Amino acid sequence: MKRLKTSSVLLAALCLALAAVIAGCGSSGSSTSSGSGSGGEGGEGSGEEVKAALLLNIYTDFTQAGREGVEAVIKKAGGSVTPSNAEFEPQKQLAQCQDAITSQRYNVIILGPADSPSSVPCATQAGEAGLPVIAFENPVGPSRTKVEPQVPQVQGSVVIAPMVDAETTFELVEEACKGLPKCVWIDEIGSRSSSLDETKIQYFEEQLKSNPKIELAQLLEGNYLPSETVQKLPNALAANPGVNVITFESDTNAVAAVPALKSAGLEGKVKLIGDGGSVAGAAAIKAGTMFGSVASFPRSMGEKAAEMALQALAKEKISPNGIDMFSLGEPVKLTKANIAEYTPQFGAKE
Amino acid sequence: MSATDLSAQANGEPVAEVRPRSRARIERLRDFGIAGVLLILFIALTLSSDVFLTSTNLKNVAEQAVAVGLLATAGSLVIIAGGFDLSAGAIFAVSAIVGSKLANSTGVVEGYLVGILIGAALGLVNGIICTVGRINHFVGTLATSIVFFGLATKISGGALIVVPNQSFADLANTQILGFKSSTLIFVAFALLCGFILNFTVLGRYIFATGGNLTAARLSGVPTAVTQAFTYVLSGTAAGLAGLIVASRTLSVNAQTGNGIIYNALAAILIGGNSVLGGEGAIWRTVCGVLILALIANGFNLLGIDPLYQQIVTGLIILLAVGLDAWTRRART
Repeated sequence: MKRLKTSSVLLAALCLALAAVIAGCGSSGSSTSSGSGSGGEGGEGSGEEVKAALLLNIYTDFTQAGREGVEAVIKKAGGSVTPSNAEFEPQKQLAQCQDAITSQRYNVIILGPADSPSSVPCATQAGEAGLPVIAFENPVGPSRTKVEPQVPQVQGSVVIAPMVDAETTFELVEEACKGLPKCVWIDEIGSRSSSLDETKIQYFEEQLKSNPKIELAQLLEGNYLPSETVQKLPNALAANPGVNVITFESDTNAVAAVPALKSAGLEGKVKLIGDGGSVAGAAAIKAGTMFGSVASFPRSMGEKAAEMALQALAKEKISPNGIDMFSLGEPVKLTKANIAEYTPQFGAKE
Repeated sequence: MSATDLSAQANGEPVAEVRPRSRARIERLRDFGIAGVLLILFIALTLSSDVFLTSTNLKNVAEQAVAVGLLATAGSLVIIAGGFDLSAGAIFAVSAIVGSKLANSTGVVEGYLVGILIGAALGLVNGIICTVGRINHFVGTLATSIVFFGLATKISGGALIVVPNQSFADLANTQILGFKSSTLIFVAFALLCGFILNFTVLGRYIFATGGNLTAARLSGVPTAVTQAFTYVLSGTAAGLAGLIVASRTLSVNAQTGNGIIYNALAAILIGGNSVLGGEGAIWRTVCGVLILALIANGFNLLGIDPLYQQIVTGLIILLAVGLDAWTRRART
């Protein structure tokens, strides 16, 4: 009997602890940034407090900078932003979108699609519930490359144009190969099963047809992890001792590759090209460790998406309603010659 | 009647006479600890969110649980039979990609059928490797998962497969009696698995094979066929889940299904099924699936910052599993 009584007390304590955890979730306000200021570029006239659901595809320093941009503008307008992280899973993002709509906590959705075509049902359901949708980072719709809104529920779109990224990367490769009779190139990509990476590869293959001096010797799959890139790179260097240029899917990976080059005795002999124009990337270009990178402006992109959200809520005309991130700052093609003119918007300071 | 009572009876112990009836009832209830956890979670969310207990939200939760639920219920049979299927996520991707491509080139119905058949066929490959090939179930299905994901990438060419034909969405989105068809498919599949496990000879074979493979074989149970069957069922469920997911968004790529197997395995284990085989129940797995779905739904409804979600998810799972294990341990 005594044992049963003790057990019951323990059971009740566990139940209470579990309930407390859930209830704690309910009262958590740490995720929501809200401001009390007034102003903002739009939405003021609507008299409606802005409550934005920011559906991010992943949580990285890049998307964090975007989030800060969104929050800065919406805070100024006296609103709040609640982010979520889909971890690159379209199904997870659709569930988050459905729940955001059902919760009735939001009056606008800023959607950073985990995948462009897969994000259409989210926009459709938000539209049916009367919530305006702003596409952020990636387009919402069947095309991954179209900047303008592709479905009627999306009222504004501020996204990374993948072709600009691919074009700029290839221009950097051409510059790095200048003067060489033959240029051997290794391309480190995120994943062969990523449609975005595949789009870039297809563009490169197309360009190589008219650039016979450049040879794409190897595609290296880093799965977006510097650790995996660093692990695989020595094999690629051993297989291609005459390599002249290596492009990376991020500046982080390019910087992480430097010790591998030192070990292979190739330091200073191979030109490294990153992507993103992060704080570390910009510093590496200044120091001459990296040849170049493609800039990005995630914070500006977030600010612009938030401005569009405010305009949509105020029922103002959004013009232009499709903006390419690369148009939000300059320079886009980063080399030692122009890096002083560039201010990185994301990444940890070295 | 529980396994303990059966064992006591087999030893000739007068179970019911020894324990007072009320205490026996309380102890029997303890077997349902995980259902209690689910109930607590449900009540906590009802109290925390105004919209949780709306039909729209509950239908959303059910719909969101479908893909993991299909994999987990079929995966439970594999585990109870003493196997372990790590390749279901990869089969999910291959089936969805083949089904979507075929829907574009031949027809939607053909896409559905071939997608499911591909799932069953890949499940059979697993079954043959693990039984006839006598390769360890973990290692065998880990290897095939790598091969199948590679197949998915090759077949899709690394690209996103988009299905422009809107009727492809019917598999997931058709409204029947106020519910989406995908939800009803999951309910029917879970009932089927429960029926097979509890009311058929095959179900007894599954328990016997997982409980003691050698003893079952010596008793005349076709252990290889039984385990192979569970793999075929798992592959079929994975194929079906992949097609449902693809039909929901009218698109799929080789990354689809990456990680889903871990959610399915988590659901099976959170439900309290034994990873060693020989015991378990479909209702337990369904509880695990619903607990995971409710946690995710709760985060979204309450707007919890993603930075804290993993910590809270881990704590809730720890509490849930701890509570279930403790109640069952206290029972014995």
